[in-house]
Amino acid sequence: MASINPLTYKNPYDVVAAILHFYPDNSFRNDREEIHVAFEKLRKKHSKLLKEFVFRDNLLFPRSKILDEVLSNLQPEYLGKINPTYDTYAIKKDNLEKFWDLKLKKSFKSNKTEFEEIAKELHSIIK
Amino acid sequence: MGAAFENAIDQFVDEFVNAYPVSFPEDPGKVVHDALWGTQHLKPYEVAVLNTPLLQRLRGIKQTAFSYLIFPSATHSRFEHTLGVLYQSNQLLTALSQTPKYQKILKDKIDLVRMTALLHDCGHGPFSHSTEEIYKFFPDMQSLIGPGGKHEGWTPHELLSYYIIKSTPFKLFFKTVIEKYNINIDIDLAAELIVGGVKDPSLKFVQDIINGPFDADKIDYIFRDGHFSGLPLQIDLDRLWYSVQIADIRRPAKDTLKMLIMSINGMVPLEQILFSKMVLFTSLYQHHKVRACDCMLKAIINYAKTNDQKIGKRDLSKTTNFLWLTDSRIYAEADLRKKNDPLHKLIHDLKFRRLLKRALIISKTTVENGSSKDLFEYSALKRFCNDSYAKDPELRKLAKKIWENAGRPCRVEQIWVDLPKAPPTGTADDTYINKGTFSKPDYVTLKDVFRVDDWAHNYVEHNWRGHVFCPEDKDIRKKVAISAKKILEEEFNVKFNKSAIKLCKI
Repeated sequence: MASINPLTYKNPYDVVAAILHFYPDNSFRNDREEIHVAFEKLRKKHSKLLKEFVFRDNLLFPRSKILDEVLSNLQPEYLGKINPTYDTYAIKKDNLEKFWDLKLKKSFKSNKTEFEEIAKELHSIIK
Repeated sequence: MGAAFENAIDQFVDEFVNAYPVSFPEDPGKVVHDALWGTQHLKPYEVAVLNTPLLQRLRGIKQTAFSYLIFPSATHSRFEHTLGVLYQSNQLLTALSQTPKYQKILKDKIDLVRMTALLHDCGHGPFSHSTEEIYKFFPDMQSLIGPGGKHEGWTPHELLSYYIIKSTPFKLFFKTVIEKYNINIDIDLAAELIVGGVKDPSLKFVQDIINGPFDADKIDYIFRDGHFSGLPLQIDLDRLWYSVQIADIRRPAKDTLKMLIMSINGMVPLEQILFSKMVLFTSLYQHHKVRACDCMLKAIINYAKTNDQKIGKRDLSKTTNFLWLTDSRIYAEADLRKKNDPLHKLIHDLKFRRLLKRALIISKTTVENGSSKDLFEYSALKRFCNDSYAKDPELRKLAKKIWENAGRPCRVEQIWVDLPKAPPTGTADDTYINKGTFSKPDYVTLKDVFRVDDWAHNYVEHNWRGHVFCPEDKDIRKKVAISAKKILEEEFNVKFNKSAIKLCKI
């Protein structure tokens, strides 16, 4: 197994949860291409926090298996899809607030500003 | 790392392609019978490739790894699947050829597609995806497919197939085949098709036959795995073949792609493919006993690596060394070791089905809802259900805590926290549908018609299970169950209900 550096490793699940916690809206469009393209773009700028989101770029659009998995795993507690069209992701802000307070705040205290920045940038791309 | 990896591939290919005399059959080639698809004809040069140890070794690799220990008839091999993919790719080609418009562009692709089908799984190691799930996190593999790697995000066995085909020894062999049979197959392109990396946008449809949303690979494995495990799954193949088309898909600010698409009439088989895949994941690939076997295999490999032990005379800390082994070679290691050797015990237990058992079930129905301000719901336990290299080490730490808290009732290698990742979805974004007519087409993605992936996601979500596994002994299971419940509740701020242990039937 590859060795983990606890100083630099960020669990992708926690990273997306933190971004959604600071996301300046309660929902965003469920457009996989748009979301993956946005994350790939953000990863270039925020390479340390988004390092683990490995992207494959030889497909129809750049995509990350890990991002797909995390968006799936965050459901239903932190993220939901609005029925019946599933066109929109609803962010469950109350639950994310609890997750941030109980778990994430401690491990991400030095990254708070950057997460806020990523969330704003993501919002400006995907809305 | 790159050069060492390539050298190791060269050595393997030299041994499995060029070290022994190759037979070059004459016309008319060979007829092969398959329990699933019936009879198919192989051209002489295809037989020459199929006869190499590189592909013959696939007879010794079970397609669904340990499923046969739970579904006794699921003993089919990668070799049978390879021939099935050849058959299904030919069926797709034949179906497309019925349309006169496509005949010209298909003419020089048929031999290429068939050869790609034959070679598409040549990079599989013993127990197929079960070892792939292990070696994909090895440093040599991560340096290629991990963050910043040359092939970031590629699938490990596809990458191995790619490197094998692109290797100098394989090209040397294939040059002989080309000269001998006077054929024209671009073997580099075959390698690109396998990894889904074809650069020419006019060839995307060729790639789609081998590596696409309704490719020959999926059609074969869904039918084959379902049939031989005894799970009745159906896809309306006649409808699928009838509905397949080739279309120029124009995408804003991007290349126009010549893609394999489906007419609106083919929606039902597409939905059947996706649903069948989900059923296979929940019922077969992620059956709790199959997952227990996978954990036992991890224990074997981890033990060998940690203690500098070789299996099949191979150091299993290097990805390429897995290529030299088959399922039986790993099992045989038990016989070559003394009974008091831990590796003998670990392998013997797996071979003779003394499987680990469930001590705790993690699911939507075994975790209380998080109405309390200090508690999360079960999603919090899915923190490690992703393809990260950190997953296994983190889960091993948890398993060790559980083991210590339980009073170390067995070997630590016998305690596992297993949180399987969700099956891949995404078909709806990759699949284009012609909702117009053949002469007046109107192309949209499948998700624009019906969000079938999201629908499938709900099914998977409902059926997802994680487990804590331990040895069968009742006393050990009780201790581990209590310990696992306590540790996981503390670590994840969740609360298990009674079913979490009760359903394990200790």
